Amino acid sequence: MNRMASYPEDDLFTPTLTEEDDADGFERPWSPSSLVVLTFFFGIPAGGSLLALNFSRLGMPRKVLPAVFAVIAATLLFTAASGWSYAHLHHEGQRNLLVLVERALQTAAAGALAWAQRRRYRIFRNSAAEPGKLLLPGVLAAAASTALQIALTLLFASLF
Amino acid sequence: MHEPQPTFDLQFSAYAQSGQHFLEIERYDLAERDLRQALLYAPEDAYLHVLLGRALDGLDRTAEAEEEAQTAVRLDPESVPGILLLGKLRMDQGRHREAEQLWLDALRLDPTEPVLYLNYAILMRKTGHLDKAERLLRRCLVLDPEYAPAHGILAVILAEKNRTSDATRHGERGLSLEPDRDIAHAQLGITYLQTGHPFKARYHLREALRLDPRNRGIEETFHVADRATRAVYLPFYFWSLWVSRIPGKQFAVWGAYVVLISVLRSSPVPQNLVAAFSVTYLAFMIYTWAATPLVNLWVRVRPPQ
Repeated sequence: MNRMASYPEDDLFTPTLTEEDDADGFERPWSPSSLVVLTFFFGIPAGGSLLALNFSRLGMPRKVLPAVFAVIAATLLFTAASGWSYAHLHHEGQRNLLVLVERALQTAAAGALAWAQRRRYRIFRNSAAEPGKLLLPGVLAAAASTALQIALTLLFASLF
Repeated sequence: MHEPQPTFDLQFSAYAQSGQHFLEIERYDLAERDLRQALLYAPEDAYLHVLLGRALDGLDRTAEAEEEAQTAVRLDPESVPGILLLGKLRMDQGRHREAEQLWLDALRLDPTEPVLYLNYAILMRKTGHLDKAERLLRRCLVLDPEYAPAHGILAVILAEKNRTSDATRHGERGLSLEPDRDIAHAQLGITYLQTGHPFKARYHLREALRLDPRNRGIEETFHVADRATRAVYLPFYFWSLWVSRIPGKQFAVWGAYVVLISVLRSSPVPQNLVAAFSVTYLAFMIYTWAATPLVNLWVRVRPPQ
């Protein structure tokens, strides 16, 4: 007799874990929440691109490309908005407000990517291994992101 | 058929019992020695292989422990302790899906075994499935309301889910059932640490460390609790605890600050007050960045006692 029948309604006895729940395939991932902070200060090209790469470091390679495309699209969208604001918004208060809204939206977008990595990163942290060092890639990403955003904003400003 | 020899029985029992005793007091080397002796008398005893596997696991000889667990399951395919040990080894190796499958198989064999629910819940917590972990532990406590380890783990999970009073209730219940168990103190300490009681957390983690001074995990958590009780760090501890509970965390606080400042600037509130508020906020933010290095420095000056 199958004694499981005593709990017929139970989903406690059905498997929950998937391939992503196994603790393998890690390559010193970065902390997703640190990358959200990086995005907050230096924009989505900085934190978002590292978050996209972090999918690979977390052993989730299939999510790298969609994340890269999302980051590229978000970068173009936000720099286009900045370029438009320089061409059309002449009141400083309005421009500042747009910058704040952009910053909030970029941070939220990075937060969404980090949210997709949180369970996998938790499994990694439980394996007691050390996360990847973020200082050098963070500095490089911040510098590249700042340069890219200035260039794209100027480009879009001239187009609008 | 031969009659069993009384000396044979006595020696076997003595080795098996002392092996089990050494296992309980975590003297794994002595447990291995006696269990191997017992196995000379009963090499087909699946449970002895499980016990030996546990001793070897305690000695971090995982491959040999796995061999013993496999032997136990081969000798008795319905050996729940054997499957349990095999699942635990799989979990430690990060092969979580295999561990889950093994424990589901074991639960099919015996759905009334609390220790199976406990281990399955630990796996669910480790992989971030907190709701299922909680439900498994509640089922476990229905089967055995006085199962202290289940109360302890449930307390830690509820603290993680910000259900403070329920968490401390289970943590305290777990400790009252096993007041001399280091892990019960540690679990209550972790629960207090996550629910805003750093001094109580420090006390219980120190008790846990006193009971098991070799446990590095408890030692590290004790140092976290100790830092949280230092005056230089205490405001940051409560701040970070509060921020961790709000949606959007520190970004939501920044957003609220920006909105508030914008509103205040266009309001009849004196602008020097607005400026003072901004400076205070900035100073506090600088403190939050500096709190960890400051407390680390202070711990060097005055180490924990």
